[in-house]
Amino acid sequence: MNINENIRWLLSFYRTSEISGALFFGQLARSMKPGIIQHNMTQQFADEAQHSRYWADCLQQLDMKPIKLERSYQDYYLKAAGLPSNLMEVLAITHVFELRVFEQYSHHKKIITQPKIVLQTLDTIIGEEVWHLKWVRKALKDMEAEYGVNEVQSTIKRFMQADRDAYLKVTDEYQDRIDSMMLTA
Amino acid sequence: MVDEKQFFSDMANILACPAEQINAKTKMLDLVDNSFTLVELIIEMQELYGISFGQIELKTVENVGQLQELFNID
Repeated sequence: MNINENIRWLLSFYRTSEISGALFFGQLARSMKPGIIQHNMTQQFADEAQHSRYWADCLQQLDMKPIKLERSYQDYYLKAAGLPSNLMEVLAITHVFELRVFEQYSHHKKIITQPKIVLQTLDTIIGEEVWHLKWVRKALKDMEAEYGVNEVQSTIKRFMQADRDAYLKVTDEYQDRIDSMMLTA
Repeated sequence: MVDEKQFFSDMANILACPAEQINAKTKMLDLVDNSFTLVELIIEMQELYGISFGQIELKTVENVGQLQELFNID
């Protein structure tokens, strides 16, 4: 498959996933009462929306049009994980999702030869993702007093399993595209 | 102690719908227009009643009566 077509597909996939992330976290923020967690979640969904714009800008600079994709990673993930039912589960699902995003973008950065603008966009986004991981981890730690360490840990474990199931479903398609870019590099 | 009538009324307040629309047999999916509204409802009700339960317990809940049981409402 054409390398440019693979880049276009992958960046479009990221763009769609970031939009879905913004909507997902926006809806979760609405379910919360005012406070520091809702405040941070609001910042997070604003960031996700911004990341989507970064990918749109990146595609534009590469003279590529985004592909309209029907499904995002979140769709697969939510199907596997189900919706959260309390604040701790909201944070656990957020934590697992953010870890996946971080790993995926870090993995993508290992592609040796790729347009500079893609690397710059990845660096910008990864920088912001670090804060997402940090605040959620702290909030989950604080919740151990209310929910118990075991309950928090087992919830994270359950959502991680769902994440693995979702990842396997999408891996075939986008891993092939990344691999082909790596082989070409 | 919260009774059934108060429980239905609290649900109606959160969902901004008439309380008469809610009874034990009402299906949860008939009350919410999307799954995120259900998340909002469940989280707010848990905070209101000082009760916490998770996804696993909620999995079997299909109607308001089953939700009442989770909240221990007679």
